[in-house]
Amino acid sequence: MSLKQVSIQNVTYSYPEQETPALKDISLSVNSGEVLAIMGPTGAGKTTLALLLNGLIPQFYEGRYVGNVTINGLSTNSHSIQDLVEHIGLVLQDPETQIFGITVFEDTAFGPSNLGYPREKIFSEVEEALSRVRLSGFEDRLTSTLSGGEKQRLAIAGVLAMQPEILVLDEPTSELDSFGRVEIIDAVQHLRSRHQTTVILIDHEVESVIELADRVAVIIDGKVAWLGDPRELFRNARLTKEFSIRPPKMFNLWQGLADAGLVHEKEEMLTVDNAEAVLREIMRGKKFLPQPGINPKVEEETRHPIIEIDGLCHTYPTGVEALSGVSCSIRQGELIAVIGQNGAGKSTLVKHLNGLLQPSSGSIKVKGVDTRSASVHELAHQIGYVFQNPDHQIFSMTVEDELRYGLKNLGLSEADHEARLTEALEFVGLQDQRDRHPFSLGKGERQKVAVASILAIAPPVICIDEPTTGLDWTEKIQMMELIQKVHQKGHTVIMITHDMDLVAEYAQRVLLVSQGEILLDDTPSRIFSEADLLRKSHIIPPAVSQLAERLGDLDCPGTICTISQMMDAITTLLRVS
Amino acid sequence: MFEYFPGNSLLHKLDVRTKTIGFLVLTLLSFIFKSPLVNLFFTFLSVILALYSGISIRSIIGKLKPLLTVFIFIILLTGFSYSPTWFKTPVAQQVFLSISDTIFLTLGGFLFGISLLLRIITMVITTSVLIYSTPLDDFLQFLQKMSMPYQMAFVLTTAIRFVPTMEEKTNAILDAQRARGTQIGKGKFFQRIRTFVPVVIPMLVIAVRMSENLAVGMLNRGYGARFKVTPLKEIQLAGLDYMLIGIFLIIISLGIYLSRLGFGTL
Repeated sequence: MSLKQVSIQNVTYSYPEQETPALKDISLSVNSGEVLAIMGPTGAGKTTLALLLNGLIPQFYEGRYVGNVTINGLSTNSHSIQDLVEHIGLVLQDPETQIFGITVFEDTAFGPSNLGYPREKIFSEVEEALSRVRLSGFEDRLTSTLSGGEKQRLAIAGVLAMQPEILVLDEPTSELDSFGRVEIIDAVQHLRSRHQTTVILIDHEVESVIELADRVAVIIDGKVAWLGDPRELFRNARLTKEFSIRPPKMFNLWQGLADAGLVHEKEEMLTVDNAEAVLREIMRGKKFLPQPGINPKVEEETRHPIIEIDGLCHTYPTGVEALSGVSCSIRQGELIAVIGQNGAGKSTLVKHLNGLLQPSSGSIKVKGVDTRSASVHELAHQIGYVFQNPDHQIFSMTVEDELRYGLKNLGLSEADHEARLTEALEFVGLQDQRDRHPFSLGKGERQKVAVASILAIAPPVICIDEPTTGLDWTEKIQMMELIQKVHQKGHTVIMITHDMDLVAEYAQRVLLVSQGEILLDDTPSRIFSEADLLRKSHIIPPAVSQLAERLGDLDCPGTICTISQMMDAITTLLRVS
Repeated sequence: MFEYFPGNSLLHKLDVRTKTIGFLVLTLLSFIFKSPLVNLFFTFLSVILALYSGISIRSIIGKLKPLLTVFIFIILLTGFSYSPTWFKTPVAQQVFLSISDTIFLTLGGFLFGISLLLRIITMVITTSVLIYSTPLDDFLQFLQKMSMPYQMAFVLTTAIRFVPTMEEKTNAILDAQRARGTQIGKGKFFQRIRTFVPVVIPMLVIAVRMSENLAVGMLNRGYGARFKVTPLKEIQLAGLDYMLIGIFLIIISLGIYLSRLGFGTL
């Protein structure tokens, strides 16, 4: 086998009817058995690069294409996609459109049966592929009943069953909760160490890349902007900033320690393992000081409750009990994060607030009004809801019209429209995009259109479902800053999220939903110190909390969940001694 | 809705062709006999089959519930639309209530209405039993054996597979628009049509995008690589299948004979 399994030579490609090329004279090669990570901002050309690898470009996607790509020596110009699938398997972001079978077995067998393998071989390949992604024993499960992580692993198995030596994964974890992400990382780890599969992994998650990749290529504007050892990249704050890549949390901590003159230049600190070793070195057996109680619940009681939920149960028509007895009250001006595993009941809970779902038993009162006695239309004045996928609501020809739609629906006076529109657009920073077609904007900007369309209505409570899914680091920060600004303006914000770092950093109060109940209702600090309960609810706490837990023998308070809290604890400790 | 559910019952093991013939025989029989008693027996039989294959009474009721108004309408309509001369038995010729010389409510019409109703119920239940116990792949092969090209059969079965997915997307869009105060289907005729625009446009956009992704997904799985696709399980008639098909044929002949003799008429 040749050393270079994948070779891209001087490829330039533009999508049909697009002026600027998506890939510009790009060259890249991947060696046999290595894991190459591909990073870069959204719209940089990462997915386009993936489509290039098995011949989808130029065979399925038309457009202007020059250059040459060879996979195991076969040129994608002269070999059909279906011939290449036996050499290179491509798994895309959305598992929904990659699953064709009703059962796990049928789906995994779809590829090999298309290739006309004899039946005995199909059976053995399916068995092998399922075991590689650790789905053995799932053969007869219905694909529709799988969790997000399982679906994505099934999509990988479906490709592996055709025995490719190379696997390309395009953001396989972006739609998953932290637990699902770990499942995928484990599966890829397994493939690499046991089966020497060559993997090309497109991912925004720095932690996955550190764990898996031998090399990383950063794509900016359709070109390879950087190529090399991931550790070298993540240690270089100037580069990560330039490429809008989030530096690893532990590197941020290292920077803090370095600024305080506590660590040397040479020490590596990218993972929790590294950080634990470095901190133990710094502490030299000293113990952390007991912390004064953080964020005591004082003023809360004085604030006026805006939503009261009492004994809420919800059973879907299918008989699935999604919520079983949820009670809590939400006060005006809070910023609440709702966390929990996929399927725990987060969305079901929040959809009750604006009447999209009605309780099977129990009640919800919004400003004292029972949601059963008000229509969704009426509640929309009080509770705004920004959904996860902005494309489920966008239908207008211009951004402005998209915002105007909600105002018209709710019968807000026409005279106000102009002022409301302008204010909402300025607030999210889209004033210059006012007349653009929403679909010509990027995902991050479309998400902002969705937020603005709710802001224009100015409801006192705004619910946001997974606001940062599929966004790159810069877009994520912008979105969170926007949410914080909305909160500071006086809105009560309830956000559903999987991103625990964001929860630790931004939320004032956290509701941990597990199996249809609120398991914990507290500040982020206290929530993340409950390591055992979190594990039981399949939540992986932020890296800093993991570090704090590991340093438990040094009396490190488990309530530490952000970098600044950790830095404070260390510096006070060292100052005292 | 209707969905395949893997299982180990005898129904799951039978060949798709046997089940289809059985289904057709039961449907034909219920059409041959007009008597509600005979049809009640068929409904009873189909309920037993449903329970045996693992479908709950609750889900059967759930499927029939939306049809309730139709059912009542059918009984009323048939009750009034047949004259006593249409029926052969004296019981059925009884007139309940005569409104005018030409419009009367006959017992026979009422009973025939019940028969029609039971036919519908029997068919709904047996269809679910058939789909519930038969993987799509089997239907795919059945269609191919009846010399439908693989591509066409694949498109057909994939369309069925994606019905729940599209349903989910539609609900997500409806939720998103309702949260912005849309009142779907409200207002006068033209206004009402306009309220659907914010739902239909995102649906179309998503459907187009999904179909492109699906095409890519299929190519990624080698769809169209070879002229001949390996069927996962060659559908094969076993001894039991031949026996059952034989029994089905005897039953249908017997049924036709009995109805000729006047059994089960009204």
